[in-house]
Amino acid sequence: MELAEKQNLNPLNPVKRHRILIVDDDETIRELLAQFFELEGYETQTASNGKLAFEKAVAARPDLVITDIRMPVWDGFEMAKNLWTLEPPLVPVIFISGYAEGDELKELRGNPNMIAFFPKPLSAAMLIDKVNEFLR
Amino acid sequence: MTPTIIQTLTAFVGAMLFINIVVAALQYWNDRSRAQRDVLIYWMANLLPAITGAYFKNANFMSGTVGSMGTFISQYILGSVLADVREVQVRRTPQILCYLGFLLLAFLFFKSGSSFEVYAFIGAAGAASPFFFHWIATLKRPRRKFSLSQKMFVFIAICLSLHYLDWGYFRVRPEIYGVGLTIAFGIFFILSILMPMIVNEHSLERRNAALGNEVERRVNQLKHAEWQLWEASKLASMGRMAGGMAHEINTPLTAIGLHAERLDYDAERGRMTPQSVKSHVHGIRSIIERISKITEGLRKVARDQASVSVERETVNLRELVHKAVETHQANLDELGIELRTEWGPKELLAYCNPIEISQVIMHLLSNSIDAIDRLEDKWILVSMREVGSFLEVSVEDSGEINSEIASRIMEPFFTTKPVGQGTGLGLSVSKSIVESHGGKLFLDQSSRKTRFVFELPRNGSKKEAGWNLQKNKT
Repeated sequence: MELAEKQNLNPLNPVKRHRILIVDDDETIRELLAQFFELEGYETQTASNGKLAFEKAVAARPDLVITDIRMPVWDGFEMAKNLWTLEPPLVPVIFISGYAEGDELKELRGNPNMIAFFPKPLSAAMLIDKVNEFLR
Repeated sequence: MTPTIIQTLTAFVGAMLFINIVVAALQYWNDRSRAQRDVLIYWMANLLPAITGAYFKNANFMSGTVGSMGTFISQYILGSVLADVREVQVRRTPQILCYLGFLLLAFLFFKSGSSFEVYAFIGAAGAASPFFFHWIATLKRPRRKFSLSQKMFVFIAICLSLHYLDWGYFRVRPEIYGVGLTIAFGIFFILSILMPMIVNEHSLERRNAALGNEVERRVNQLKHAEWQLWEASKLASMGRMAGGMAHEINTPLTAIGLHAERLDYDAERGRMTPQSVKSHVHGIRSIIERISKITEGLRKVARDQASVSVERETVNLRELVHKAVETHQANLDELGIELRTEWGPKELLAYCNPIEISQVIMHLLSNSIDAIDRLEDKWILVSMREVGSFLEVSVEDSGEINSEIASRIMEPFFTTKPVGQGTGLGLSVSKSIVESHGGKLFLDQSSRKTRFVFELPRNGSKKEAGWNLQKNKT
């Protein structure tokens, strides 16, 4: 049974909904991913670039951020760096990308706040499994 | 002439020979070249007849033969110095054989009782012959003309060689022997000036030629390296383009994948409705359209690459700039950069290679975009105007360059971007392209903002030699 359905069954014992922030400059990907995660019982927010994502994260701290790398204004790495200057606990980040920037990615390899990296084209199922594994 | 005068003259000749030997030895010490060595051997070889002349009171076959050996050697060297200048070589063996043949003939004449003059003449001819052999060989191969000093050298050498022939006649007439000696002395004196001149002249010539060749070789090397760099930079930019393309295609692919996964997911959970299927299918279709625009762009690039040539034609610069701007439009919109264009109503036709000039404009645009991307105030102004027989195109952006960078900006490999981003070759390559069109590309230092300007000859003016005939675009 899905989490969302569990919630509907038992309103007196609400299961805490994790909040996921999805960042990608492509509208279709943002929306489809958000729909997938909503169906899985997560609360979702979206942003179209790194800077907007950071602002939203400051306003309402997400439990996890899934972000593309190549975006205008702030790219994924910049957003993550700024995100991790906020007070702990630091927000974990999953990167997705169609264009791996080798050097910067290598820098982050040891960082415990980077949960995973998925190259594009990606499979929603794998992404969802990883998120479930991490958050639940 | 009294014996004393003869002795004195002999002493002079001997002294001069001696001085020449010392000088030649010193020069050889300094410059261990073959030519200097030959000059030294020449003067030393001349000692032999001088000594035998002084030693043997009476002229006889023996003394003549011994002296003639020295003469043979010195004449051989004289000839080979000349031959060197003309870069011909003469085989040694036939000359030695010729000399020995003459000696044998002289011996026969001597044995048959001929007078000294006669067999001395034959022997002298044999001894002097090597010079004539070399000289004739140089005549056969006229390549460069002799310089004045070389002509003088030949003249004096011939005089000397002929003078050897009359040695027999002078030798048995003591009253005029001094004259013969004086003539010899005079000739040797001139030779001692001319020979070093000839040797140095020739070695200078040789060194100049070698230097010239070396310079040419280095220039070719540099040209080749430049071409390789140009090719490498093209490959590098192709690489960047390929990377960008990969990203451009991966994003819509991901979206299609997500639509498909959704359809699957819905099917598994029995949540499929005609509307949801239609909406996902519609989504997939529109994404496919997006991708095909990208592939169309790629095909165009392939086509353009295939048709790259040095061909130039009449091009409407306004169209060219429009296309370049279009290519960057998405990027400009995303980054919030305002692009303004400014040009008069006249048709702005230039004579150029449209692909290359496109490259230049695109490069200037992308430089500007990179430069102002993080500024508060972002704009780019592209303007064109006629300036005499040129069309002037300028790309100005809201960024500012400090004067230190401005002075170096056209340098190959100069870049302010961090390592790995941008080779710094773009501007210098663009500059070469514009210059090969007979134009100029420069940074306008009088503008407060960053303003790059390039000029192209207008349609109808053929400034550069060797251009193809104009082809009209119909």
